[in-house]
Amino acid sequence: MANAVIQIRDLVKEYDTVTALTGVSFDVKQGEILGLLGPNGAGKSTTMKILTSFISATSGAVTVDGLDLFANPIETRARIGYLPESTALYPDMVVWDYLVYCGEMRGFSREECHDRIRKLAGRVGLIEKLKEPIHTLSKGYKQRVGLAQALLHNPKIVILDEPTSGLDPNQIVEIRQLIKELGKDHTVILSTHILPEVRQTCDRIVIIHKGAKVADGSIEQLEGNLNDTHELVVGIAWDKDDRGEPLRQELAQIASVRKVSHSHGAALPIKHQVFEVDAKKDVRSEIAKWAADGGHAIIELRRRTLDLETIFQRITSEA
Amino acid sequence: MAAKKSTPMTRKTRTRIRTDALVMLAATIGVAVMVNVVMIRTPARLDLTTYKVHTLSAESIKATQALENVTIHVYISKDLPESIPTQFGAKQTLKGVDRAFRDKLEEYANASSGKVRIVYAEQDYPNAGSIEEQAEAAKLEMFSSTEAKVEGERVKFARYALGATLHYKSVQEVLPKALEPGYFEFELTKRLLRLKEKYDNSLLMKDLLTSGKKVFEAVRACNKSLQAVAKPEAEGASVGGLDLKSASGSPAQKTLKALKDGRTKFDPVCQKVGPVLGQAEQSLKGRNEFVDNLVQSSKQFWNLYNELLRYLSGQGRKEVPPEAAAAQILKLCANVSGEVERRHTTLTDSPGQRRIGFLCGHGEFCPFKESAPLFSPQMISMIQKNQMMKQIADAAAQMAQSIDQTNQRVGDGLFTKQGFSIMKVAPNKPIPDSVAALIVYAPRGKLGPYDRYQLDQFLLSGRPVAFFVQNYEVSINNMLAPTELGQDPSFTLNGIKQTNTDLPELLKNYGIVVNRDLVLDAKHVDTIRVMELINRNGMKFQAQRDFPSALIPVFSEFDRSHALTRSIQSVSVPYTSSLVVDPKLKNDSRFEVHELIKSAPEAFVKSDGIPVNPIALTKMALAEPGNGPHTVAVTIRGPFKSAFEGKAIPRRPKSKRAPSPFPRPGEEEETDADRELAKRRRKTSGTGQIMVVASNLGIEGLSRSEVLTDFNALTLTKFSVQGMKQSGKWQANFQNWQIRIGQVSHLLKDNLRLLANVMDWAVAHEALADIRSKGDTRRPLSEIKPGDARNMRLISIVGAPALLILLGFMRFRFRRRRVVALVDELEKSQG
Amino acid sequence: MKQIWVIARRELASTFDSPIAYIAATVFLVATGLMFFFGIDGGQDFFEARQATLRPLFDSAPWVLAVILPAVTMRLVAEEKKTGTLELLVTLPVSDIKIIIGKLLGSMGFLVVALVLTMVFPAVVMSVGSPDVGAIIGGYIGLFLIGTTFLALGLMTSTWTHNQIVAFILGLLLCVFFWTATDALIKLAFDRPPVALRLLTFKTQFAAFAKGVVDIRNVVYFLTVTAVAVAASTYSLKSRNWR
Repeated sequence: MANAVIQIRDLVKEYDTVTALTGVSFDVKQGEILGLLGPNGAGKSTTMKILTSFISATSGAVTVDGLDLFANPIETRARIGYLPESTALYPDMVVWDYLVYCGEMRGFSREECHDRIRKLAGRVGLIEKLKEPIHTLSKGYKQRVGLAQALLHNPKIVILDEPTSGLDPNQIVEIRQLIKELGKDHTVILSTHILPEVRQTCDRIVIIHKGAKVADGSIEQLEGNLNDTHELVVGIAWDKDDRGEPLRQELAQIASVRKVSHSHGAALPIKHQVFEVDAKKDVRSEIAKWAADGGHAIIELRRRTLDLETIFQRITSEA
Repeated sequence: MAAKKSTPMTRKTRTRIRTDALVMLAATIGVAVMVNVVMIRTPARLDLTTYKVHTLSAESIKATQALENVTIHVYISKDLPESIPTQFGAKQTLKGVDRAFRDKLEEYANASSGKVRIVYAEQDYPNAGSIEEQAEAAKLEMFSSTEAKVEGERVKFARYALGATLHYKSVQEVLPKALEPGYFEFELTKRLLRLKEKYDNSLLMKDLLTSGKKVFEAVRACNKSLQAVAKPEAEGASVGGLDLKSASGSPAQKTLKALKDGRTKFDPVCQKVGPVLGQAEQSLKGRNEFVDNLVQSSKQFWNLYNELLRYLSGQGRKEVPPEAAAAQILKLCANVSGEVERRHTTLTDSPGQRRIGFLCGHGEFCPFKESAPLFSPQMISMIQKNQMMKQIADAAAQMAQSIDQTNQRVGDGLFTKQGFSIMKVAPNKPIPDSVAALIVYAPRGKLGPYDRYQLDQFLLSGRPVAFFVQNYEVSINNMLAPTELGQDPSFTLNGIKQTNTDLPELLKNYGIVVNRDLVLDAKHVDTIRVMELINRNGMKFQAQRDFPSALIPVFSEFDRSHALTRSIQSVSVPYTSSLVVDPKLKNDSRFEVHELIKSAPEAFVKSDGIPVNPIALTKMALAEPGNGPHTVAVTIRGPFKSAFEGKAIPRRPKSKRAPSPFPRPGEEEETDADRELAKRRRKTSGTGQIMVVASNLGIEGLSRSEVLTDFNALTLTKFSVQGMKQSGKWQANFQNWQIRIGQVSHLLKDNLRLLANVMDWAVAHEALADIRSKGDTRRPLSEIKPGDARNMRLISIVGAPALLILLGFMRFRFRRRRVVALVDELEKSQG
Repeated sequence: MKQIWVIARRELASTFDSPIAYIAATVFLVATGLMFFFGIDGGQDFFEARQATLRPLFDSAPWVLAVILPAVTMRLVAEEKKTGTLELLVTLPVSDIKIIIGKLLGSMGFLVVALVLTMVFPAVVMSVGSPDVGAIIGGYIGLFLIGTTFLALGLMTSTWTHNQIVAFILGLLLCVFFWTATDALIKLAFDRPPVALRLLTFKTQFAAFAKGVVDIRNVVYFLTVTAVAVAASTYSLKSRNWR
């Protein structure tokens, strides 16, 4: 892969008692926003910690921008901006000073740091907080400080560990917007367990579960892969109280239908029963025909798409 | 790096990082240990002290290089105690002393470019015994700690050694006890210099030394075999009580028998003493006083031995039982043999040693035992008759004894043990030629023309003379003799009293004017220790308190071009007069003038109206404007003119016969021949070396004539009440001496060192004075008001933290200011 | 190099942002002041001893330093471990040893401030007497070196734990141990302690400085102990990689 900025091969990380990663491999392409997905404890953070050289892997190999991560930890760190999960900052420092400190640590002169902060502060929405001590900031602003710190040196790669956790909805929206913008100039890896975030921000998803990669691809691809099954939700008016069992049986007779299950009954505005239909192909027209033939009134007929949540649930519960 | 990069997939990264880190850590530790080990043998140091007191002086380095192959045997006890008790219940810490000693020795070895070799006594040395035993055999001075050790069934104080012996060719020097790191260099260099001197001079008197050694060895061998023959029998007698048959006599009888039986064993050995002694006496008599002394003691031994032989063969005196005589003589033999050994040691130590004379007899500090008996024979017979008189005489005798003991102890401790050879120079007699240098130490009485003439001629002969001038006797509280019998002694606030000394008149002739005044300084003062009688709740007790006293100025201006004062940091000289050197001398290039010690400019001089009460004194001194600096010590070398130029040679005064209580032996009248000789030897000028210190440094002479005032048969025979009063006065005199010494005793240690420096100057070892001064690091504070002391404490203890907290507060207050400005600017630009 | 200075500067600023620095420095100044002027540690009252010397200060100050410096260093790494800021720090492009050295230098800043503040004492002594300035300089060089070594030891214990109190107590024990207790322990262990072991004690190594002699052996000793402590701290910081 010519334009892979990060290559991860057979990454294994064993702690004393637990194996956190069992051999994960994937690439990250230039300019892509990669979502690293997985339940808590799946190994997302471990992967990111290894990528940022906070910890080392037990075995495996990682190249960042063509450099061996383990042989050149300092050089690779210089190419990465990192927002750790905890977003721990020195509470006594003033935001401005903290950013200057980070900039200087990355080799910029003080003046250069000031310039960069001036440019960046507006982007991450920090201007009004720059003179405050960090411990007075809200969680959202702290997160922004963390982001500012990660972006200060305009790194090739930005790694964000759970960037929206603990934020209120408005803040989440803002941060997501920010991440999307980042994708224009940076390669971004972000980990999350919040699926809408991924849908809204990521170009590609890698799902890690129990230390192994279980899925890798764009949202469309992933959804496409799973969408060879067709599920419909059908609501039919029915005034008896037998949960529409006759209806279910009739539906099950329709060609290509594999399985019909009763979902629930409802009374308003019209008393009706809802069924879930699992079919080999899209059978909405067949159902419409059946209803017209049998004199049933269709209250609801819609296709259930297999969205990310479902995919995630499926993958992670299968294993 | 390249290799790692080419195969990024294979290595187990975690293990690699750990191994690398471990290797780094181990390497650091390894290098650290190695560097330290290498450094142990690489002494390189920076002595930051002003006078480089911790670095070998050039003189010391020269001393090491002047000798080929010196071996220093070092004896250091393992597990030295942390501290050892010293006088007055104080403790001297020994922590690190052994290490400092080793370091100093290594410094010498390194400086000597291989000429000095250090050999440490080892416990495990084959057949050598413990280090302490080895040290004792090498004549080191052993010391013990407060901790007792149980050895066998006896509780013993463990004994320790810390010292060295220095060997060069046939001569050796002993450093018996090395406990004061500040003086290690002095002690070692002194001995190195002495080794060379001793060896060079011992070559000149080789025959004397050889004969002396022969005599000593003969006596020792005889005594050894004598005691060996006598001893086992004596011991056997004491335990063999069951042997009734042979219990025919006491242990003494057994000893006698053993000696009789064993005569063949010791007699051949002892008979060698006679011829050796005869030979030595014949060839050496009169050539060297130390040999003479040795021969004299040996002769005494030989006589004793012959007397023993007479008793053994039944020819002894009839009235003494032979067994008692034998035991007595045996004991005496052992004693005299010990004396012979001591005199032999003195002889071997003597080559090249220069003797320093102390002029005595005018109330000087004169650290010798009085040679004349206290009571003349006719007095004794008078005293025997009167019980009351006997009591008074006993008290006087006791006091005379303690005076003698004190003087002897002082002389031994301060001078003889320090390697100075001192001798008493009697008044009204010509000064012996064997005196190499003279010290006239603070006479309180008049010298008289005859002795002044002797001093004058001595000075013109080129031999150094050091004068200590004491114009005043200062005492804060004195004991008063009870005026009525049975009265408790009382104390009085005493005053400042002029002494009768006529030294200034003599010195004026040499261009040195010692003023009749006292130097005071309110700012730079040391303390005086005053005894207070406290009456609390009806209980009377004595306590000591230190008061700053303007009469004890601290001098810190020294002539650094003179070795004597090159490294001295400060001295506190009590009761000093000022002195002035004739400007003519100073401008005369033939004279070398060093104004050694000067007061601070704030000092002033005063000759009357000086209160003794220390508080009043301070008050007065603080009000007085300074008119210093005043010179208080000076040394001049140059062509002096006789003080008696154009005058007749003074006649030797006729000795006062009775009722003098101290008839001096050999005090014969001056003969015409003596006067003729004096005339022929008279000098009118000559290059001399003179030193004048206008103080007694707080060291006051103690002599019979000062304490036992009006001691004569007349007083003793007068009314007995008068005699009792007299004895009370003596008591007070003695106690007042103690009080005066006690008031400045805390200064004595340092001032004695100054005195020792002067003595080094006198025997032309100025360099040693310089080195000795390095050990003295006293730097007394200038005088501060009690309020100031409190303020200084307060400022230091509260001020510094307050300053810190203020700085912290400022930091908190202003640290965001710059950031705020930057951000405000940014906000403005962004609208 | 620049990074080391940046870290050092931040650490120094941070040290003086926390009250511990002020408490520690105050304890140091008051304790040494009391010992120096009143001789409460068994020494002599300065104004009664009447000697223009700072020896008493140099005798007592290492003791106090051994107690307060671990309080200053305890937070250096332990706090960052606890709050998580360490993660950001070590993922900056800076090697672990630079971090350690930077932190050590930062805490040395505190030491320098504390020592500079004690210069009130020599100032007082100079105002009432004429002490040997060279000896004072030597003593301060010694205090600086022994203080640096204490700091390095404290820093080391701070890397061992994320609990500051634990780091402090371990640091304190270690400093006091090296200052004097090695003596006692060695005596327990050996009848005749080898000289090499006795040289381990800081007190022995410090003695010459107090006299005004800067002996290269003593300097090297303190520097190497510091170096070993720095290496051990770095090792400990790196250990996150294999734990």
